Parts: sequence; C-alpha cells; structure tokens
Amino acid sequence: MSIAPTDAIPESAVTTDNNVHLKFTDGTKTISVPAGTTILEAANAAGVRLVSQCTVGTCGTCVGRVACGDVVMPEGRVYSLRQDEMAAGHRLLCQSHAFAESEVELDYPAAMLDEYPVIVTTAKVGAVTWLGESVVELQLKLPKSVRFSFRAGQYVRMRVPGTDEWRSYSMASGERERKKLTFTIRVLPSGAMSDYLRNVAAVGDQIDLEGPIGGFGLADDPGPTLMIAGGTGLAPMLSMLETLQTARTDFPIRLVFGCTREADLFHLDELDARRSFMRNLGVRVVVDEPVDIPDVLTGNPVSVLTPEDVAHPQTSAYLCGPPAMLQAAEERLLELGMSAERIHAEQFLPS
Amino acid sequence: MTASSHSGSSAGVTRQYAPYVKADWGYANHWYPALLSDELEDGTVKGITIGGHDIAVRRSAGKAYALSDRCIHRGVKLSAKPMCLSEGTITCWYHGFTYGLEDGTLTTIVGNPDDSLIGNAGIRTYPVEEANGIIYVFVGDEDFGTPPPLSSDLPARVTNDPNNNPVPHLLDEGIVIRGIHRKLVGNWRLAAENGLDPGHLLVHWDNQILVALDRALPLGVNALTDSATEEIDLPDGPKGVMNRYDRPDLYKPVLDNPKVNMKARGTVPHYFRTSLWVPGSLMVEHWPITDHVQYEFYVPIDDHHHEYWEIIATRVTSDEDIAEFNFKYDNFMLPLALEGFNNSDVFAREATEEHYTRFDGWNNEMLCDMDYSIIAWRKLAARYPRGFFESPFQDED
Repeated sequence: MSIAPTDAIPESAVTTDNNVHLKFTDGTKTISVPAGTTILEAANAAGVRLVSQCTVGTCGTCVGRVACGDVVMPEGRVYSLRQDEMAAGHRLLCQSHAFAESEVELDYPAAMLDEYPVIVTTAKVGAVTWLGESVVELQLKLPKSVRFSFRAGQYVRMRVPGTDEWRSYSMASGERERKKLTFTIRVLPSGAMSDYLRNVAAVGDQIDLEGPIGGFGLADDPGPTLMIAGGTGLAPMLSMLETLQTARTDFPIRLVFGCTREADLFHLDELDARRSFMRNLGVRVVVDEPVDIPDVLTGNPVSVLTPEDVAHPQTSAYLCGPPAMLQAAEERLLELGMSAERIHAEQFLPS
Repeated sequence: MTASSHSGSSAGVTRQYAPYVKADWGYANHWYPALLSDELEDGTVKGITIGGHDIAVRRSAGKAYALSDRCIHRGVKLSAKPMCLSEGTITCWYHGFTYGLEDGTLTTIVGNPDDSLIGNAGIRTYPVEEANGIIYVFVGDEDFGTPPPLSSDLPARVTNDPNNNPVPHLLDEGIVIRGIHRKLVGNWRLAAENGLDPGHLLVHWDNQILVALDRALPLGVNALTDSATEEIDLPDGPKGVMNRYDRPDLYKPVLDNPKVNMKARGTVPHYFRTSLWVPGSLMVEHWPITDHVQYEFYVPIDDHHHEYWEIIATRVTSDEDIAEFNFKYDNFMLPLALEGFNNSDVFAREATEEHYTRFDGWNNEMLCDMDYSIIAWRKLAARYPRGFFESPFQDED
C-alpha cells in the first residue's frame, strides 16, 4: 500500500483528450479518454468492459500496467498498490487519467467480460429422444462447475464423439436452463452426427462443447414477433419463445413452422402445449406435400405469409432454416414492406 | 406391483403447463407476504428468504423497508446479528458498512467514515407495502420497473356470496387479522395444490375441529361439470381458480363409501368455498366459521422449502368485536384450525415432497377425476409467470 505525496495533481492539468490502447491478452482496444475522465469511465462509455469492483480506488481490482505513455492517479490518498508496483507502472484504472497517448496492459482476455463468455467444456448426454422419423432431441448436461449462460437464439459447437468433426446446433431450451441444454437435430441418411445419433448415442456419453456462439436472438424493442422456421430451424425459436413467455407484452407472436415431408414434422404436440399457456402465440404448420393432419397447411413457410403478419410497423421477423428458405422468406418480407433491419436470420447447413 | 401400476408417466400432460412445472423456485416479480406487522418492532431487523432472495426487513420510524440481506463487503447476512444505529439506516455488524434504507446506498462505515466507497456503492432494495397487519415485499428482477398493485397478487375480493355476506378482503378497512407462518419442507406448489384439492378431505376426516363442531364434511366432492372450477382472470387483477362450492348443482358430495364401510361424520352442514391465486395464495371463505375467512400463502423459500402462512380475518366494528375475535382465535381457531386441522395438510405435503423431488413426481404422477381443479390451477398459473426465481447458489445445479 502506498500513500501518494499530498500535492495532488489538479484535474485541470489534463487539458486534452488522449487515446489509450487497452492491450488485453486477446487483442487491443483503443478508447479516447476525455480530459477529466478516468480510463475506467471512458472505457465504460465506449462499451469496452474492464474488470473492476469498487470504482473508487480502494479494492485494487482494476489494475493495469502502463507500458508507455503517461497515466496518473491523483495523489494524496491511500491506494492498494505497493511502491514497487507503482514503480513498475501499475495503476488503478478507475482513478487514472491519461496525460498522453498511452498503452495499458491487462492480464486477462477481453472476451472474459463478454455478457455470454465462450466456454469450452465436456458435457454428458442426459437423454436421446426421437421426436419423429428424422429428428432427435439431444439433451446435454453441463458439469456443475461450469458457468454457462447464453442468449436465446445462440448456438454451440459440439464434437461428434469418436471423431474430430464439429457440428453447430442452436439451443432449443431456454436461456434459464444453463446446465441442461437441449438440441433438436435432424438425422440424415449419413453424416458424422447423424451416424452417431442413430447408432451409438447413449445416456452418459461425453461430448466436447464450445459456446455460446452467434448473434441471432430477440431484438430489444417490443412489438409483434414473426418467426419462420424450416425443419430443425425450430430450435432457436423454441428457446426464444421461453424468453417471450415472461416478456410481459401482449403483442402477437406468430410462428410459421415448415417441413418438406410429413415424416419430417416433429414437436406438433409441443407447439400445441405452448399455445395453451401462451395466449398470444399463433402457430402455423406447413408441409410441402398435402398431408392429412388437422390444421396443417400445404405449401411452404413463405407461401403462407400474409400482409397481416407484418402489418404492425414494429414487427420483428426471425428466420432460421435452410438457405433457400431464408432467401425466399427474406425476399417476401421485404416485398411485404418490412425493413431489412427488422429481419433477423440464422442460416444452417445440413451436416 | 403389476406392470400396469408403472404407467403413471404424465410427461405428455405436464407439457400443457410446462412453465408451471418448471417453477421449482416459484414465480418472480410478485408480491409476497414477508412478516406480520407485529413481528417487526420499530428499530429492529428480521431476515427472510423468498425465492432464493435473502431479504432484510427493517422498521425505522414506523415504516418497513426491505433490502438485500447481504453486505456488499464480505457477503454476510445483515440479519445474522441485527445492528440498527440510527433511523433510516441499517448497519452490517461485521465491519460496520451502513446503508440507507430508502435506496440502499452505503452511507458510512462505522470505523472508517472517510472510506472512498461511501456514497459510491450499495445494496438493492425491494418495494414494500404494509396493510392490515401484513408486510408485503415485491420480489424479483431488480430492473422490473414499477410493480403492479399489491391487490393483483392477493385473492380477489368476493362479491357473489350465496348468503349475501361476502368475506372480508385482505385490504379491506374495518377488519382484524391474526395468523401464523412457519417454514416447512416441501415445494410451494405441492402446498398450494393441497389447499385447493377437493380430493384431500379424507386427511381431515378425524380432525378435532370437525368433531367439536359436529361438522358434516364429506369424504369427497366430485365435480359434475367442467364449470365446477372457474378460472378467474381479471385484467390487471388477480388470476386464480375457484371451486364453485356455492353451486350445489355442480358438485356431488360423497358421504359414504360402502366398499370400505366408511361414512362422513358430523351432522351440521357448513358452507365454505376454496380458491387459489397466482403467485400462491388460498382463500377459504367462511372458514373455520361463518363470517371469517382463512387466507393461506405458500411463499417459496427455495425449491424444497416454503413459508406456510395461515391468516384468519373477519370484520369488526368495535373493541368488543376485537376482543371476541381474539378470544376465539386464541382458544379455538389457532389450536383447532391453524394448528390442528392444517397440520393434517402439513403432514400430507411433507409426505408428498419426496416423490416430487427424488422421483420426478411432476412427470410420474397419475392424477384422477378428483384433481380437475388442480389441473385447472396449473394451466392458469402457467399463463401468468412474470418471471421465475432461480437458484442463487453457484455450487448447485
């Protein structure tokens, strides 16, 4: 601990804005630090997250090492830095002002402070449930010690057991479930994951996993929601529906779920159930070929869209499915007058 | 056991009210009773837990405040050793961190009044309302915004009493309430469902209060139509389900069962009606006696414990009325109803807990005809989650 000399540097001594390069272990971010503003305040204002706790110079959490430049803390008070640390260039960023363009080294990755940091772990298979002829629901349990959180709509990569193949799948479970994730996976005639799920997968298997990944998710502004899902593109929609359940709005939620063949359909009972407790949810199921199931339409998700679906100017659209469907849906939505920035899409490829 | 006795998986059914099945820790962003007013003397602090939120309730200059019961410094519970050094503040007994009651800001540190943290840090506060002897706290997300009115989370005001004498509402003027609350083992939903369940009358068959009053309590009440249980969904108001025991056309009471040679006892019929409300409160009209009403709250503490509240209210117009109520409460309602009759419920709920926690009872139960109102409740409750409490523990799943 050191007590700086009593002649505090007057804040007026900093008269110009200075750039500070924050050198994280995973990259550098540059911020402008205005005169009279601390580096921590400037970073917060710029949306760059730094490790900190007390913000008043007592806890010592926000320490950084000044590699070059001129970074000064007001003198005349007690700081939780030793003299030798000060001499080595350590500064508390919540108290530090930049007197010149400077570079500050931080001993952690910037990604550590992301709202949903990416983790790598090994999960255990909790259940393998066939939802239909070609779709499996895979439930993975994360280890107790792992702190995992995600935004509804995001996905993870997982390594197919026994191979070095990685595949990406969106969580179908809600963001409230952080230790038990579920995925709805299309099982194809061949393919690494498909073969594993069809022939090998068993409760207790270990699966390496990395995530969360992806920027697909609900926009902040409330308004009607239009979801268009092709096949297992339904997964992120289910996750987002769980968020919408407690969003406390009465705006309509329209879910259009399309499959190519009747045999590919799944989760119709699940969607029925959700309709029963989400009064503002409307579900439209559509299949390319005519099928003999009540309330199931013939066509594709795009052909059953109506101008009414996007009539409200605050409608947000979420699309997930095969590329061709996405493209067609996007074109149709634009044609119906939706603005491009209200159309959010997540593309997946069969694998 | 035969193979068919294992066919009790209700996983398919539970999806019809999945949000409710998931609400192990209870519904967040609702008003819950925290303490009885007379449990919180001026200048004192009590610690409570609701849905995993540890909350310190402090009374200062007559007013009740609720704050996070966890000091920001080293995380001890403020209520572990209450320390109130001035009006308008609460102090952590460990290192003297002192917080303002209005907004939770750190106002001083007893042994270090110049510390830089002062004025720059604090603990969260919770909205509080106090009415008719109960302190309520709004518990949930810190960024929820303005809470809905307290009345939306209490049982609705009854207007359609068959004898044209509706029981008092918890927020009415001119009423008196007495009651108790206790921490019980068991998930809050099992308690709530027990209170409503028309099929559970059997556990009360030999209760003292029924013998003492010669009450004719049926062995069961079977619904005759779908409308036996009514869903009540008031805009911006209470959401609940009501067993319409006021409509004799909707129910068939079972008074004897010759197969087991069992008959309902008692000769004096008595009207009462039960209803259950989000986020977990019960109203039993004209119980334990006419013109009185018993309210129960099943306040989630965590996923395996709830605070069981039993409140009796009635209207009074004079001090004599109050004295009469107090006499009856102390000598009759407390021992025979709240502790006697209701202890049969407590025993039943605690006995249910194991199945629902260790054997996934929500997916492995087999509800029967008698449980129609439980299903109605679950479906209604599934539609109104303002949020879900979550385990605050980082060492738990």
